[in-house]
Amino acid sequence: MRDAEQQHSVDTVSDRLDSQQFAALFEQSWRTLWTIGVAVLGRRDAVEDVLQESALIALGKLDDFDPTTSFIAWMGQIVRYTALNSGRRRQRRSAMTAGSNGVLEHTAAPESSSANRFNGTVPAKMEVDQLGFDDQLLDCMMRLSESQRTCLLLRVVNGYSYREIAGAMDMPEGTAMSHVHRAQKSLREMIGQSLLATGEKGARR
Amino acid sequence: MSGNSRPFEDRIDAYLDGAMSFDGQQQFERAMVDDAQLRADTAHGKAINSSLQTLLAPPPVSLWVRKIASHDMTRNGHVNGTANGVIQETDTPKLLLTEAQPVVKNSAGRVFRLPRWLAVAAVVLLLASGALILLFAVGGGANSGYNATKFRTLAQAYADIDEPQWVCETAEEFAGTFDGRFRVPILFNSDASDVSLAGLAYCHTLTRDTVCLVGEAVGNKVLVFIDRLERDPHPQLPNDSGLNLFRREVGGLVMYEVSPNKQAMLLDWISTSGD
Repeated sequence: MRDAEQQHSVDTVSDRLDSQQFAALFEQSWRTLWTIGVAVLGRRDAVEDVLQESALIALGKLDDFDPTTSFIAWMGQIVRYTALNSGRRRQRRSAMTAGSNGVLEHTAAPESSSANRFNGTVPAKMEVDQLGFDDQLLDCMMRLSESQRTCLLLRVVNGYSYREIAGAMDMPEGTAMSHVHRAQKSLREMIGQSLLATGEKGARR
Repeated sequence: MSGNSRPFEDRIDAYLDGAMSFDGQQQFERAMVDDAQLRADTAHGKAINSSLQTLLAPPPVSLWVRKIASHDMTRNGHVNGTANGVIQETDTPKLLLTEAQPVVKNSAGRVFRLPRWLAVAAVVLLLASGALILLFAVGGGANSGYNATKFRTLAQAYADIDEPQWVCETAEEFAGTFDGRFRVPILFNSDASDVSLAGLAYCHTLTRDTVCLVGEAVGNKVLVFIDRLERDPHPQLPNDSGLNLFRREVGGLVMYEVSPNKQAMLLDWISTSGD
């Protein structure tokens, strides 16, 4: 049975998307797909590459897409898998780059910016300012499940309703709501503990 | 479960979402007065939402998305005109909107296609307004073809950046630019007659987020690369570059001035707005 979400997902009269229709839908879904990408990857800078790769993959599989179903849910899955693969490739490269002495090669553009990544460690000397808070927050985000991260970002950053999140993630609305609430609660607790620990360290100094 | 001891804890998200009734909101705020933990949790929740919105907001749609439609599909599912998995820009890109007719659906779910002339007129209007915005925003099309995301060393950036991408009209706008990017508002106040600041450029030099001041001193182009201090990669210039490098730290930021001059000319005029 087709639900209302699916019925209005694709406005096309044909039973197959052409590349122009695909491009139009891709553009309409850009914010959602980008958010899914950044939630899986944990870094801004690689999202665009993942979206390009996903678009290429999807263009090669247009025959597999049923235009009566949700484009965002279909494309979101492709972005998700592409992002997961990209993350694994990156991890493998990092492991290889570490070399025999275990020291990562220094690059001219260190990838520790809070705006560019989620993972990594917060520098020990960082003070409890906004920048330190951002880094702690991004670290804490990576401790959430991927679904929680994605639902949370779609809600908080994109301002989506739980119904829209459910449509994009192909999950029941209640599950989307639960993911968002658990993510917010976990983040508050982690951030609270983290700030407390930092404050105690500072007090001991 | 803390449901009994702290009944409002589960309502923090609703409060931050503005999803509470007026009475509920007042009750919650009264509870916060007596409950320090609830107050702290709510503050953390607010700060978390605000930071996520700042850090992870999606960028505008990339140009390549609009070019997908102009690439033909081959049988094996690859897009013509690609290399290394990246959709390449073509000399004569065909924007999607010029090729496709906009699709509109009425309340009954029936699909109508707008007349082609209307679509073309809309595209012309869009392109014209886009061009005007670019003209104003970029300051007359300076640095056309300059790719701010490409990594450049200090020397390469010095060679490539001749004009600013962005010109701030007021000190507030200037400070706001740095406040937005680094959370450190800085000011540039120079009363020296031989020093001038033309504007800002963005570049991937110290990190991907580097902002570059583009100025002039004693007749020479001067660039100042600014980024967060803790990301400082401590760059060097090649010995044969003919350029000199000066470094300064200001309010959690690191600044590198590059020019042929024998001394730093712009760095001394930069301060944080709190100084």
